[in-house]
Amino acid sequence: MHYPNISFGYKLKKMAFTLKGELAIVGKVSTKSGEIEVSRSKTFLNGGTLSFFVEQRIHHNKVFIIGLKDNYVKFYWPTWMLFSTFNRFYHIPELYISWIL
Amino acid sequence: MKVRNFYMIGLLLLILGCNKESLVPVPDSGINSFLKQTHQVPESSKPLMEGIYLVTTNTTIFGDTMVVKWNHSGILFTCKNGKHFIMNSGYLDSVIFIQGYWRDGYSDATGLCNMYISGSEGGNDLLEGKSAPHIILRGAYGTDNAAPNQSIILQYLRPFSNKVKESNFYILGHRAGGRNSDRLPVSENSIAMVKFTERLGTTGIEVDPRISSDGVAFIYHDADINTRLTQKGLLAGDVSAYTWTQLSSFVRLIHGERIPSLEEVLTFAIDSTELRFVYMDMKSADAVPVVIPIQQRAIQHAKDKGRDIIILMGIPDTDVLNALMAYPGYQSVPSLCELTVDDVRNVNAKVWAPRWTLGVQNDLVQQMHNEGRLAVCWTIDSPNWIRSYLDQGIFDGLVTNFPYVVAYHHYIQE
Amino acid sequence: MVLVFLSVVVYSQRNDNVKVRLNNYTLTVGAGWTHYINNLQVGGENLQNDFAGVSVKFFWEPEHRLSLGLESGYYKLFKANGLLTDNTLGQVDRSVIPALVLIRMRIIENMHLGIGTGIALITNKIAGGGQKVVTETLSLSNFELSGAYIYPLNKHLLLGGEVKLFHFGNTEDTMYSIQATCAVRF
Repeated sequence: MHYPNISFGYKLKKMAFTLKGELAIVGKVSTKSGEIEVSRSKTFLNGGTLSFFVEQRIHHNKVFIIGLKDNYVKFYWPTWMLFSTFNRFYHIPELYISWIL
Repeated sequence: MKVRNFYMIGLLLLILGCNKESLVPVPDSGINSFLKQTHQVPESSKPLMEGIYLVTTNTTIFGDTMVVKWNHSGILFTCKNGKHFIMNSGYLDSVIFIQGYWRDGYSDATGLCNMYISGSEGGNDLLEGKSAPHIILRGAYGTDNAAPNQSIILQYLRPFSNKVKESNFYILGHRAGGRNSDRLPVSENSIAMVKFTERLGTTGIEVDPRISSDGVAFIYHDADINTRLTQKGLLAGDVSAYTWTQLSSFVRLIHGERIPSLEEVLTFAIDSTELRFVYMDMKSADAVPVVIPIQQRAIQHAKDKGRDIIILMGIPDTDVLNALMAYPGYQSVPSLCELTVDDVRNVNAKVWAPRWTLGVQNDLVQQMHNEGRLAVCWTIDSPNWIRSYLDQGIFDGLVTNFPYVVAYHHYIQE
Repeated sequence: MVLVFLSVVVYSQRNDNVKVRLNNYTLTVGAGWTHYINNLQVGGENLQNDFAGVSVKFFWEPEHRLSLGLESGYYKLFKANGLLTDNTLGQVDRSVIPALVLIRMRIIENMHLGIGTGIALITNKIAGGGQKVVTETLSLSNFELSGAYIYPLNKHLLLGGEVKLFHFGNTEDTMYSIQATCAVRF
């Protein structure tokens, strides 16, 4: 999968914000069960995402990031929806937490 | 500020990750449907209408050919690409009218459809019980509830081949016809689905029996009460923890139906449909001794009514296998075994049912045939694989969520 | 909601004259009113959905604006009576014990906004219709949004109030709670 993306950031005194938009492009999907290839698809637009992140220090100079992401996609690899038999888009929100140690 | 060493721990936490499938409404042809003014098409005319038709308009949408097949409830027109028409029919004078709706099994597209066969284009002959090789179906289809305005013309090509007419192939509807996520107008594992399923081209069903805490067998797929299968209600958690009274009082499936008991389902299938195969995919080993007497009563009832229907206890795992083998006289319990062919022989199952991803396995299927047993595979949904299995395999049936696709590829065989 | 949050945060950054706090830990208990948002499609007609709820939180408060914590509590979601098919009355109630990881940020002095996620144990009880049944469901996709005002009485004791919204994904239940809180800082 490919995620061409563009981000815009803004930094305050003690906090930074990022707004990021991505396209989700699937280069190839091939699902197999044992030797049998169940399905195959060529390059297609899987959808897009929009996310917003806030970064700030939590302790000494360690940075903590919290973000919210909306995936508007057909196939979402972390879950079963990679194997959907339907031609539909879904909104799948993610909460993102990151701690730079 | 320099950060010499850092490790990023990204925790991806999913919230609200389950998208609820919204319901696709069935287009409504309204209270003024002209079929109310027509007479029922004679039984002798129906097989003469069945066959393969050429699509002469809008082939990019419906493909080049269509299979037309009558069923217990109406008439099904099915295409190669998953689109299909669920229709009713009647005649007035020498014209046969056909009205209903079309839907796409793989998307949300749907719409109304009206068609007719005029007297001079086959109507006269069909109503007189004569074959009509020049049948032309003319009509229009639309989108959603809009009045049909796109032309559709079907030209009769040929009847079903002798190979198809002589076959006893079973098109088995998964969860009685399809899953809730297939956006059918009725809930999976419901009486409404058993009533509706033949319209999709099924000739048999697969259902999912469980037992309540007070020992009543019912059909329901998941282990818990959830909003995938039910309207949001007062109960939650393990479905089998509740009594039958509690479940039938407080649980409604997503289209509003009650959870049906297994006895209700089997009685309905025998009395009110022409289904020929019921595959009870046992969801727990505890249910085996409860289901067997129900199965036996149903088989006797079918025999009393002269119904040609097989009702089988499905064995999906070794727990159910062991529970069945612990039952006195288990070898005379009609069963369907999903495990190995040796397990099939040990339990004297009537049908072997391997998972489709194990391949066509023609050598093992032939062994089953040589022993007087049947073989079906599950659950096959991809149109390419359905066609491949029908062309290259020798199964007696396929379990599918898209019975209209299986129906297309089965009936079009030469 | 995102725009409101952003503007509050930007405002607080531009007017940040709050003293940097030291590394602290707080233990907070809270109690107050909870209201279940009735979105039942079956059996929601005669629902009792206002109860008292309690919460307990443990927070690590480092020197910047962010705090990390754990929260639990006990909330009754609803209680309902309904006629069963055997013409007897069934009584159903549902309660929840969440266990959430919280991130809280001080916006301006004493005002905090928080977000949390974690697990929740949802207990369903029914009496009538043959037998009493208790089922427990572990919900894995849950979240909390909260806003709190915390006023320090002295170095170790804080009083405050909190508004929070919970959503429990497994049963699609949503409730909010308004609580008075008391915290010990050490």
